[in-house]
Amino acid sequence: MGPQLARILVVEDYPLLLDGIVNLLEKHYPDADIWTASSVRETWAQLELSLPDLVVFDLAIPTDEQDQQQAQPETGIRLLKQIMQQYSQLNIVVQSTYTKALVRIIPQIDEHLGGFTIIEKSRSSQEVLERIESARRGYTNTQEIRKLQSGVEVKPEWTDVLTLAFQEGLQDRAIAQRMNVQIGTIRHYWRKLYDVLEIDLEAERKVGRNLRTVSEINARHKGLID
Amino acid sequence: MLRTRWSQLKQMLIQQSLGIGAIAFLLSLKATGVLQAIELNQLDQFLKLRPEETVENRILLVKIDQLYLDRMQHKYSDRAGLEYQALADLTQLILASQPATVALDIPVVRLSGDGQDNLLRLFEQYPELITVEKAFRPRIPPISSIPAQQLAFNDFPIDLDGNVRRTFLVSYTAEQEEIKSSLSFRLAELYLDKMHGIGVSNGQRDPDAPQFGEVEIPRLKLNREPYLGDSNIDGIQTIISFRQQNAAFEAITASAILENSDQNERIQNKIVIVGITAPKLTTSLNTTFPKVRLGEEEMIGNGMLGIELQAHATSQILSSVLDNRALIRGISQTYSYGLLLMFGIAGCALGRSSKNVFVSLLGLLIAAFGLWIVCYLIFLTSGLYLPPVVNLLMLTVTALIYMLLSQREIADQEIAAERKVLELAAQDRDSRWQERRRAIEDVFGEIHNGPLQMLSITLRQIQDGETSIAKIETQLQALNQQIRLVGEHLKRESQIEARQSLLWGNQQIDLNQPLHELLYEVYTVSLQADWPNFRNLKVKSRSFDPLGQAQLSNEEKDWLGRFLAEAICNVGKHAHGATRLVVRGQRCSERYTLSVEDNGYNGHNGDIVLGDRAGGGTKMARELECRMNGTFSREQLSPQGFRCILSWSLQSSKNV
Repeated sequence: MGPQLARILVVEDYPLLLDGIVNLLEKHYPDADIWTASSVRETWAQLELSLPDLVVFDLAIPTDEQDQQQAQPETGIRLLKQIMQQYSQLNIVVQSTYTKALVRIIPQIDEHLGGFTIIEKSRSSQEVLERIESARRGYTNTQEIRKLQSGVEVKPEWTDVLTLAFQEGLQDRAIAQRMNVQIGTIRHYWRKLYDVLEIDLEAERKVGRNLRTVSEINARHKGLID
Repeated sequence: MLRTRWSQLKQMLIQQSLGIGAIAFLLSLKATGVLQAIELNQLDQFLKLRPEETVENRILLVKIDQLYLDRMQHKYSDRAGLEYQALADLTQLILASQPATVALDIPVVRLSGDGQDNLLRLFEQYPELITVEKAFRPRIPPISSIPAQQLAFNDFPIDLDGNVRRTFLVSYTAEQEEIKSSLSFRLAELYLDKMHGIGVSNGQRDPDAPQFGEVEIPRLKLNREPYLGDSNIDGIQTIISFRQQNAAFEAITASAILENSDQNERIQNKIVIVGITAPKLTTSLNTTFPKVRLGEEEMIGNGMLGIELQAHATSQILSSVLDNRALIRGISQTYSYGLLLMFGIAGCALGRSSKNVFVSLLGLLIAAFGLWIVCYLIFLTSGLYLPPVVNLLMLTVTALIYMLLSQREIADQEIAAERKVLELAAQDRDSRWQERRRAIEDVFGEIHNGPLQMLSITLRQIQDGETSIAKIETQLQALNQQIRLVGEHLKRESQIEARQSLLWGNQQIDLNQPLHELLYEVYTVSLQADWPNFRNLKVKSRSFDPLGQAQLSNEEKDWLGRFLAEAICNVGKHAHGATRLVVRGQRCSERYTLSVEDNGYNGHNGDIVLGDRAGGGTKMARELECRMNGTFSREQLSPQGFRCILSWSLQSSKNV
């Protein structure tokens, strides 16, 4: 069905849900090597063993297996922050009922270089698979939390990219020169901008629209450029 | 090393200058000789304090009293004085009783009449018979034709205060330039030779001093205690150790010898000193020795008769040689000054020894008394005279000076301690005042951040007519909750040393998190307020760089967080029609810049509660400027909008 993945780590403490997601992944990525972790301790152990290509993450997990306390999203948030700090290229999918809690780490998500997508647990399998595939491709999708905010929230650098691209008509290389950063960084900014501008890359490609043009239209619409 | 030693020594000399000055003053006072009279007087006191001694039974005094003179006058002639014949008869009687030696201590001017030949014949016949001359001015020659070996001089050296304390042993006389013996020395010499076979020789330690057997008679040398600085010491002299006894010597009258020829017992083997005691024909010499001497009827003022003085001088030689009685010697100048210096230093040490002035005084009293006792005991047992008075003076003066100094030092220390206590109290008052001020600022800050903002929003909505009773009710309930929160938060924060959280509206923000995370949370919380100008915001651009190595205190973070919240809040209140908000925390090398920028129209007529845009936020920024050594600026943007920037050095904030 989809392209092959070498290694996927699933972090989930609730066995039923774990089974569900593992089944889904096995079906979609038959050649993938799927590993699981049900606590903070196990997650670190797996990450240290071998870096996966993708992590599917539940926020509510216990510190370790013996932890009698109820799994707290707070623990998951802390773990997520640490993982992003340590492995900035890692592709991450967060599926949770507490996605609201992620609002607090928006700055960290903005900085994250790898793919990062969020999906409510209540969504359909199709939608979950779409977000997983997005993350695998290195895209960012944080619509679940962005819709909680009023207006558009961006980093100043991103709007700089928009201004240079659409008001001065510069290519990425020229923008990188102007902003005095690596071209990779500009690409990273674009991926974040697509998320903010609510552009579904897969869908747009299928339809065959020019991403830049769509971006400009959406940016003007949202008031990011005048 | 040497230099520091020297500077230490110099420092010490300056500190001890008063003590050194006092010591130098007393040393020089002693050198002038003004203290000599006191020391001589002290010697007299020591002599008087000695225990009683036995009567000297080797010496017999024969008194030619007025009664005898009257009888002789009647017998031989009517002339005053003593007939040679009468003296010859008396001497004959004495010699018949076989005395060891007989001295006629009678000046030739008192003799008259015939019988001189008879007397001279006795001198030829008895070599143990001697007589006197006065060898120093005014001279009185001896009876003519007496052989030199039977002559001695009867002069005594007289001290400046007119008292006799010394005796000659031998001396060059002024005119004849030959060495002569004093009467007392000659009598002792004759007696010791004849009765004990002890001859005289030159001293072993001091060749100029005479020595009998093993006993050297101490010579009073120049510059010795208690005659330090007295240049009037000629010949070989010694200090008289008066015999401590009411009637120190046996004495009989010449009449008694005449009337009762059976005086053998009293005369045999004795030194007999014959002298005139009749007040009209004799003079006495002053001594400070107060003992009752010869019989009451013979007393002549305060003086002591010549024969008695001679007896004391003779007796001290005999008893020192035969009975081991101590003779008086003084210590030399070097030792004397050394001793004085020692007591000066001891006094300084004593004065500093205790902080309690009564203890010091008691110590001084004991030390002074001890010093005097020790001097006395040494004098009593060995005859060595250590001058106690000047040493006592030195000890007392230096000790008192240092007692006063140390009392003043204590007083100074007490004053300094008191001053310190007052200073600390003032500091304490100051810091408590500052704490109070901070507390008041905190209370105002928190009321301003929460309830006042809410009130302001509500009032504006009422003014704009875009509210309902139900909405007002919810807002008032929120207000009620916020005011309670302020109280609780303040109560909690006052119980802990460092601030832990920042209260904004009804949100508590953890101050322990890193600055960039804190700022983001403040940003998020601030934007949740229901300000009309927030509703139009389309784009919110924000980024907060981490601080890096620099550290901030929780209080500083609290200030920065409140500054950011206030700045964002101002946008909500004043930036009409703003569609864009840019909030940035940028770290550029060693500076951190926090800026808030909007593109709204800045109307001055809108605010009804909190003053214009340079309100609480600016005040806070100015305070921050000074606390974090930073700069604050506000600028109008073109075509419209506003930007405020706070920037501070991370280098210096590290040291705040």
